[in-house]
Amino acid sequence: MAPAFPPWSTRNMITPSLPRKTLAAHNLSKSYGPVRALADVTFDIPSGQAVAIMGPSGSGKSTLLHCLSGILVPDAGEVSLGGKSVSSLKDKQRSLLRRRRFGFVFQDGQLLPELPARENVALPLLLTGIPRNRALKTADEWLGKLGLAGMENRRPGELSGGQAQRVAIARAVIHEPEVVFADEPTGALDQTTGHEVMQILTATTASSGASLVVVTHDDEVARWCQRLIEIRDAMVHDDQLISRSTR
Amino acid sequence: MSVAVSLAPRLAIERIRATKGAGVLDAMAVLAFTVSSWLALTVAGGTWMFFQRWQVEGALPSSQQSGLAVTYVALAGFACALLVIPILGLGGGAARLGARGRVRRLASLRLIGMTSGEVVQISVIETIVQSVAGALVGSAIFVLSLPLWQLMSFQMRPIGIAELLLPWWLWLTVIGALIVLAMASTVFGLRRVTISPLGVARDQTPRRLKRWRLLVVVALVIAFLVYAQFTDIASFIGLGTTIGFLAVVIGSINLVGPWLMQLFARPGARTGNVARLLAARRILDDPRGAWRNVASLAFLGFIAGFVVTMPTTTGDSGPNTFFVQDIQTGVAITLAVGLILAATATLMTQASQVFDRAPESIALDRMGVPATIHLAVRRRLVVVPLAVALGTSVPLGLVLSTVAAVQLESFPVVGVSLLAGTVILGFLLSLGAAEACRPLQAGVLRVQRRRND
Repeated sequence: MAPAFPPWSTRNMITPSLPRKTLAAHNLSKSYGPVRALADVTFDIPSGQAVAIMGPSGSGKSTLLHCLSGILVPDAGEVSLGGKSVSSLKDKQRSLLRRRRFGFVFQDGQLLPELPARENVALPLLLTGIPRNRALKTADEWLGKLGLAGMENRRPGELSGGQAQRVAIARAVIHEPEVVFADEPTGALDQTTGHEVMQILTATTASSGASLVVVTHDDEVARWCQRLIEIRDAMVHDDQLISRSTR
Repeated sequence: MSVAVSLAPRLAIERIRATKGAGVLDAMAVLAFTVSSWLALTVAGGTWMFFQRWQVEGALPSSQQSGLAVTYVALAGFACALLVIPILGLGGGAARLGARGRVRRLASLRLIGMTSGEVVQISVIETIVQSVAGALVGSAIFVLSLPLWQLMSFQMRPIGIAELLLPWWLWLTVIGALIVLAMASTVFGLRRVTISPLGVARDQTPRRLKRWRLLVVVALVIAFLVYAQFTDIASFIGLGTTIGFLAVVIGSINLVGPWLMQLFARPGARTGNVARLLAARRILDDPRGAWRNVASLAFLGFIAGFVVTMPTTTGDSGPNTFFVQDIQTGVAITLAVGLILAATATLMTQASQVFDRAPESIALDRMGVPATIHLAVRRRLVVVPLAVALGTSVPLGLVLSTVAAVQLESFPVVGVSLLAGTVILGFLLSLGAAEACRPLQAGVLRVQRRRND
């Protein structure tokens, strides 16, 4: 049954009455010429779960994240969200899906340098056609929630690395996506700031009920998640729940 | 032979040959040098033609025309002076193409033990290779385009191919000057790049430009209009001081230009339309830079607006009538050259931005932002500064000429049509240049890699 969203929720405008859904990878394979990046990868990510994907360089974890999020189309197999195929969608439809139902956090934020923080955060809503004032109001609320009240008009260059990454998190969740993909979200940060960012990222996605898929090299970052999928030589090498004591 | 001297030409040639990825920028630098050499030689050829007609006795059909011959040389020299700025801008821009990529590459060379002097040497040698290649192609285009000029006439005499051909020493001077200036731009540009990569947004909120800029220009225009009412423009001193005053008014456009960019871009920064918002924010980020790209066009637009209303029919068909017609034709040619330079500069700037902004574009693409947004932003970044520059300078020129200098008897249909046609063609060229970056953008978005994987 679809959860009810409060009347002010942007979800009502973006994806009316959309239930939270499971993201599933089924027998995914992907090659770049002779190089095999993914081979027969299968798993499900239930709604609301935080999953870390780890593996050595070149293991295929980045390709996996791109296939799951609809950036790349697998050579074989299928990615689905709530039972509906993602990988068979056309390029434009996949772009629309990413814009409306997924959120992204990148390694070094990738905020637009000429926009103030509030406009960077509001961008996904503006792209959906939500009026500017309403989008900025929601952006300011998110920035406040993430401890950036008073910094709404600062530009990315006027923020520290951790603050910029919090802006990126606000941008990733403002449109209440079903899945947030984070690609090495702490890669450009020191350890303490990295922990702060992971705490905010996991707490924010948990409170909004979104699933979280984090690609990382760092064990410490992976411990913030509930589940660890390890990729080696293009295949799932290990898939385990992370116990609370370990976390 | 130093390492830099032996390494640089090979690096430059290999990158020009590699037409993939950022290698396109090196090919584009050659294109920019080609266009600037071609147009510089053309403008120099025209001036040389007037100089020859002045010097050679009996070259002109009447004594009245011979008396005006030196004025033609002076006006052609003035047109050269006006075009020097955009030509230098193009050369300088070519030298700074792909600022981020260049800095990264040079930083790698520093890491493997090259001194900063050697790194600068490498860049300068690369520029020499690119500019010499461009100069050769540009010279060939100049020679091939000569027959087309026969369709036009000045001083009641058609242009002859031989008249435009430059003597070897003048050709060498023009090309040599372009290469030396490109080298200087490289050294200067590289210094600026190391401080803050050009074409890349500043990190901090820029300061707003103040309204006093507009007030100064308005005061100057009013002063000029009042002055013109009480001055006898027919006298030699009157004409001289009017031209001098007009030059000050034209120069003051540079003061108000960046402020106008800011003024016209600001409403865009308060919109919910993402393409309009991004374009406006980028202009507001550096209004002086946006103005710099079109400043020379604004001057040309002002002059074109000023001369277009001059009467071409005085009842007789004497040399004075043809003098005015020749001025109008000369201004139209100068404006056309300026617009071609602007379109080439647009192509270069926008192509460079595609690569400099690649990480942000890829991030936006992954977030699901449609690729059409990039194109829409680029179009606005091209059209808004052009429209502001020409939309303010041409009417200002028209107003000043009709109010202060020229008694308009009938609407100058031919002049205005020629001006409008040139401006529209220039707009289309610049828009075409922006469109030409579409495959580059698509290529950048196809590259889906993560830096540390």
